[in-house]
Amino acid sequence: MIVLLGLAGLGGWGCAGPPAEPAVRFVSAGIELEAPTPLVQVKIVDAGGAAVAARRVPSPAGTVLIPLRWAPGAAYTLSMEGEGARWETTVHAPAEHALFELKVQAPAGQPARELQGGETLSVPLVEGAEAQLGLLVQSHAAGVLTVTSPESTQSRVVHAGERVVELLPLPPAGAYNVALHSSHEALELPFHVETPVLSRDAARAQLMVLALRFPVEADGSGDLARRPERIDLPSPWWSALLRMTQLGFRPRDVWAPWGWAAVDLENVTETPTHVSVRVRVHDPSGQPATAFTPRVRDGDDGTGALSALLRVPPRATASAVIPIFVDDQAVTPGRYRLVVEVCPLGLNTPLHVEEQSWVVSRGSTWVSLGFPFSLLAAAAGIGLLLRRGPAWLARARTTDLVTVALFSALNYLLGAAATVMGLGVAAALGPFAPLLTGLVDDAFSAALLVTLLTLRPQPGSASALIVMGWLLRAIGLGAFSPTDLLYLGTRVLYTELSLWLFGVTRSVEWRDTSFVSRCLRLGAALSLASLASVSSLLLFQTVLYRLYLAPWYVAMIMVGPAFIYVWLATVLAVAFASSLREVES
Amino acid sequence: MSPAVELCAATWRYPSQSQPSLGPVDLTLGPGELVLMCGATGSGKSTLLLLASGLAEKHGQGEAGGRVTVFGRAPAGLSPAERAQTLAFVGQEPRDQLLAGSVGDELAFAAGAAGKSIESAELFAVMSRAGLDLPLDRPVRVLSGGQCQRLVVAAGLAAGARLILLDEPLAWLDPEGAAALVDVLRRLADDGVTVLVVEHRAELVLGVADRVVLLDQGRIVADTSAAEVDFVLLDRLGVEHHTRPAPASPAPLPASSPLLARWEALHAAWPGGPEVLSGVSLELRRGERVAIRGPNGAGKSTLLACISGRLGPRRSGGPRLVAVPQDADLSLFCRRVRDELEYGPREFGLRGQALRERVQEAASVMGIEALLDRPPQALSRGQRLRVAVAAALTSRPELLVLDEPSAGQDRGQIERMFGSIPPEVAVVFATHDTRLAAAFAHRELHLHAGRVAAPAAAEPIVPSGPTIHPVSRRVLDPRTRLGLLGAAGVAAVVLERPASLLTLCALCILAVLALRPGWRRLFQGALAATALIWSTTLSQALFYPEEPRVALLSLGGVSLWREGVIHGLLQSSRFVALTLAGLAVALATPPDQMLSALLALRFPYSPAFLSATGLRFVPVIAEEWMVVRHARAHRGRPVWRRGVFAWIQLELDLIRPVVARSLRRARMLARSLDARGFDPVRPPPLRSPLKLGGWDVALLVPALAATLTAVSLRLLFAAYVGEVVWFPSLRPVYAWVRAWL
Repeated sequence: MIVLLGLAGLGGWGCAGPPAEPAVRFVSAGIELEAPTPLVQVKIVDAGGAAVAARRVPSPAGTVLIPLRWAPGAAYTLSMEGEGARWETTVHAPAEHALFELKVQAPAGQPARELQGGETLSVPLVEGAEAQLGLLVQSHAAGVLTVTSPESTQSRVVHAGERVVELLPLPPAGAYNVALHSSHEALELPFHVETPVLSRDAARAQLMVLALRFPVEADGSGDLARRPERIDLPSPWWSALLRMTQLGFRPRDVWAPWGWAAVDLENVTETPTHVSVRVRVHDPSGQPATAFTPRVRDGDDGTGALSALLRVPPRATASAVIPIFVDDQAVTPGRYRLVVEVCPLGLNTPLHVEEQSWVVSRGSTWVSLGFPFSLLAAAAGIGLLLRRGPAWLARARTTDLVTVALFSALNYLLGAAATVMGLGVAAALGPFAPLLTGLVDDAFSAALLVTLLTLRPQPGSASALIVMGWLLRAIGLGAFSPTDLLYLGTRVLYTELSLWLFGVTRSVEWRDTSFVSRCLRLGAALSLASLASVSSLLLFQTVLYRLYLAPWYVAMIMVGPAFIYVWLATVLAVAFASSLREVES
Repeated sequence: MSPAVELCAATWRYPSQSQPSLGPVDLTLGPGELVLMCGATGSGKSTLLLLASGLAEKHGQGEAGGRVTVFGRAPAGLSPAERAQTLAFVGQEPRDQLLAGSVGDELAFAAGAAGKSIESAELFAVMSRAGLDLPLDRPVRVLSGGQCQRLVVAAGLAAGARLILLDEPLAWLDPEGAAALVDVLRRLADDGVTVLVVEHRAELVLGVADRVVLLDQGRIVADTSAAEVDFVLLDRLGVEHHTRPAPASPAPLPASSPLLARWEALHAAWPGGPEVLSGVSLELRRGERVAIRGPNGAGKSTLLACISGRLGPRRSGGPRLVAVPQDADLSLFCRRVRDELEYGPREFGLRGQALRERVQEAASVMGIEALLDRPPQALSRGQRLRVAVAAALTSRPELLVLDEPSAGQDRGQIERMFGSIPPEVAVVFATHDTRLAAAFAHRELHLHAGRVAAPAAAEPIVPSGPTIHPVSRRVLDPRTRLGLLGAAGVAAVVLERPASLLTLCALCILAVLALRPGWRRLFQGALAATALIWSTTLSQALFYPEEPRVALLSLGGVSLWREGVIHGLLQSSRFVALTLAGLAVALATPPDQMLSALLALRFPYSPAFLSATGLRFVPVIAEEWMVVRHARAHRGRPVWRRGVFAWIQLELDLIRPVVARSLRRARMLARSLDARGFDPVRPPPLRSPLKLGGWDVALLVPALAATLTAVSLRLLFAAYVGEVVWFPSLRPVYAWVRAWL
């Protein structure tokens, strides 16, 4: 069903209507593309079929400039690939370059846009607010550039290719003109600026904060990889590894933002609104958190805040997407507050203040390192079984194999008894039930293993008991989960390794040593194996079943059932096992 | 033509002994001969059988000498398949030799291991030769002891065996079951199969045997035709035979002997099974000896279980009794014989010289003084029985309950043991042995089908046995079930969204319900699920570490977090799904089907096969464990009335006899496996090869495809979350995974 739903979803995606065509503009620096969805890849081929530019956009964006010395009047074929869309179009370059290009930021700080002669720009201002108009002139010929505003006229000599930025105060409103006189021709671009003035209350009423979204992608779309309102930092070793191996798709330098926060605003009036959106992160004490200080030029106003100017079109919504910087080394896990202030353009007093609670956490080094290690150990254990198992089986006598099978049956029986008991005990004790059931389950398993090893101290004996125990549970109770298989692998590896290290399976002479010596040898080997196996089991439960385990609980399980119970069982079983040797002989 | 068996100066010596325990022995058996071999316990009969089968070197810790051939070849050098084709070995314990779950599988295993046909028609033919008329899918657990023995013979015939070696095959059989088996053996010999039977109850075989071989202290002391057998020698060797004078009846019970106990209208059934006893009453006077008789399955052991309080309503204020179970080993749990004898009196406060004297007296009466410092489990069967009875007597019981005390014992030993029981102790014992009953019982109680009956009414009964698994529904191939279970297990790990996890859980619940497991199992399943949910939720409510969180309850430094409760409820659905899916598969798939599936899935043969065999013994081991605990309970205080360490020590000690019994059973099973050509790396062919049907494909393919897709998507998403790699063009896929997986 899930797959069908998935296929249906994918099908729906594939059959969506054709997306709008991207806008193509020839500018002096190249070709500027503005697509309805973020662009991923662009290829430009000239009329002769030669590829003159091919770019993969590292961080997909809606507007992309492809640097190119285009030839006036030439035809170019553009192949563009966006997120989930693909376009191909042929365009013709203008017959000649204009004398100059004019772009305007109205007000300054907004994205620059191309200005056509005679256009009227509206920059609404809240009473008492001041702003600036930004003019960006790109000259393509040498001459005199004259910029005229209602209050002043400024002229200067410009060279071909020179770029000039002029900031003009607002208000006043009125007529503006930009003119360039070269040696043989002249071009003028007149335009008009309006500055309607709103009261603070009117400004507040016309603008609504719809949502604070964190984290989002640079284009304002939701960040699918991260949990909302949280900053989950990976373990330091993982970041270091990605940095060292140059793997990963996120920038790892300190100047790159950790993510972005989006502020969605809605303008309910018929006039566009320009606002400054300022964000700041506070620590639990209410002070700006230094770990979140923005690392962007001129972005920090000294208070740890980062601002963005936003134009909210009439009867529309707009989102300010603001980078959030996190100093990975300095930040401490805990709760923080994101404070967002929406200020009218040119004023510091906010119209709206919104807050969002954030949680910063850091991945556990133990879990993140231990899990892959345990996976490797499980794979090694299963590999050991596959590689050495047939030899162990071929070498074993039938009596040995049947003894192991019957011991497994005993273990299964006790395990089943412990499970039944565990259900009752768990109803009362919950997570503490293993302290009681472990006396039956863990201690008895250890005692049985001690007995088996005393009777058959060979490599593979313990593995056979573990594997047959698992098989019995699988056949009898249907316990075939992948975690069981992983746990089986780790148990086999750790047990065989530990028994070999302590010499239990390397010789048989230890069986005739003193009681204390046998206890120490077997206890040390089995408790070490038990500690390692139980750690792996807890890791598998944590990662695969998304369980949280308190450190004190882990310690309790490791000290109790995994260690003390195993020692206890060993001490009790050593004498018992010796008497069974006599029975066997 | 080569003789069937030829032993020339054959010997067997244990490493600890300077002289051979057997031999030198010269013996030749011709094809089609039925030979009875008798001798006292420890005379080397079983060793000789093992030598002849070629299993002595494989299973015994000793050294063989001389020359042994079977049909002209050394049996020790036969390959597993050749051995199965040549000979069959039938041991004493009927149930400890059966390897498979059903009659058909048992026969097919033997035939397949020997490379013979496993067609049903052939299997029916060999069953007919062995005197069995059973459906092939009859579970072996419901067969009577006699049927089990004949099934082992049939398994040997299915493999093509021309020589059948039997080691006390009649020990546990009622006279009718024994007679049926003896009749089968005679007919087989007439068909040309050579039969060598070792048996204490010679009277049952003497009439049909061609020859009788008598062994004494490891040597053949007589080898004659059955007609010329020396009964005096038989008497001296303690062998039971029909010309032996009838034993004297016990001294009559004094009329003044007071009433000791009375059981009225006993009705009893074993858990999950039908009623075995129906309205049986029994009155017992002090010092009275009562023999309970009747065919296998008549309810003798059940009546003893009721008398000893193991079954039925608990009695208070009854006589002080000690029960010695059928396997005397199961009442021996101490490290040394001396500890065993001291255990009961110590529990009742006896110490010092008085204790030593009582132990010495009991040991002396039972003739086990020399064994006091040996582990009881390491003794011979007869010695173990005597130790068990001695341990019972040191507790000064008023009533001694013995179940089949004469099985596998020679006459002299059993008579000595009974003669040593003080006259004031009442004894109730179950037995098939007519002479034993006549010699030691004041009266006999005959049972038939759970009721007191006249002796003539006794006929063999096939016990029905408790149902362990419900009838298998073969709608799906077991491999499909395992595949679906694996898919559910993977899904439980891969899925993360509440909706998808709850869907998985619901599917698993539906799977269980579809099997119509009955209210009792449903209740058990619901209880298990509730405990899982409760346990997981409580743990997560305690351990939840993530902010933001709201404390629902705080006690001291411990809080229960609301978010943890929600998280725990959600995560527990994984465990519930896994548990229920496993339960559904286990309910619907008997072990033999599961084994077939594992083998068909290329799982290593011997671990899978032996695990399935081990699983069949789980109920038996559970029963034995209960027997041990019960036997101990009569000899001391309740286990919990002592310190924690002493309690644990005692609990562990109580496992000792079960483990020792398992070791013995392992030896018997291994012998049976090796005799039938078990090869740990080469699986025999399956009797009913598995087939995937339309339903299997229709379920398995989408389930596995969905699982594979889910795993791939989860890994893709994990690589994205782990910031390793992401594909912008797959953004809708990432969004789908996040929303639905």
